[in-house]
Amino acid sequence: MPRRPNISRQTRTALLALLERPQDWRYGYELMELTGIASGTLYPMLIRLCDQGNLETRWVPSPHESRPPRHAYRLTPSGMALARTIEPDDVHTANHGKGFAL
Amino acid sequence: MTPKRNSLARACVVLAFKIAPPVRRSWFAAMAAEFDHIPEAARWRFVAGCLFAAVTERVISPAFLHAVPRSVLVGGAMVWAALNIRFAGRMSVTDTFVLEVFGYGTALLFVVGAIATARFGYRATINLAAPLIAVLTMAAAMIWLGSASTPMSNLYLALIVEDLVILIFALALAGSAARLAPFRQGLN
Repeated sequence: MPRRPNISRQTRTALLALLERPQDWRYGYELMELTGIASGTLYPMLIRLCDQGNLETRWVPSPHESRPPRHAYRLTPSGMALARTIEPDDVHTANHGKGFAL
Repeated sequence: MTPKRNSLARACVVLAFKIAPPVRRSWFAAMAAEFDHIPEAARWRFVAGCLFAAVTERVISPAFLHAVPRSVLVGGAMVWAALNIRFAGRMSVTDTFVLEVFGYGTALLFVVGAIATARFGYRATINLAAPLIAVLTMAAAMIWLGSASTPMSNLYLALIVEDLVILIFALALAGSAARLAPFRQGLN
């Protein structure tokens, strides 16, 4: 039986959320809303995924003139491969944001 | 959210940016940029998360982890020097000249060690502590084996053993930190 990657439930939730529309660039707040993961957990997780080469980032100009550009995220091919190893059954609940990590 | 609360929340995001280690600053700039796109009701929770993430990233950053054992070594050496000066000061009123010299001498050695560690790092601690441990061990052995057990010889022995314990701890800490430092630098 192939060994499953050792990743946290929150990371699995975020990877599955990013895999829903893998070609789209997603914003931090959008991912927070989608997964229920709080910013204090989500951003360090995105940093790790980016360090591991599973996530790519870019700055996207805001459609609103008065607002700054936003940082957007998308899975790389290796990130997609990793996300596809996750079974949706692994992630029962989406709301992980009520814990200590704000 | 009132303008005042809003500007306070924004100031906290800037604070998170400043707390974050330099290699992670771009991520905290991203969080600061995202702040403007978040509904006002959710901003404080987002800001709290920013601060939490900044502190976490700072604490696990190689530079911080490298600084902790060095600070412990320098601070510990200075505290031990201060305690020895206090001890020597007390001995000066009892006319025990040798103990007074021993106290001030030990304090001087630990101050030199602290300065060298702050200036040159763990190698200085190791290079100073290792020969000192050897000399003190020989002195302790000579007192233990070569003199009758008197209150004064027991006091000398106790003082030397105290210094040996401190030096061995410092040597172990500096050795471990020096071995881990290249690994930590490789993490970022």
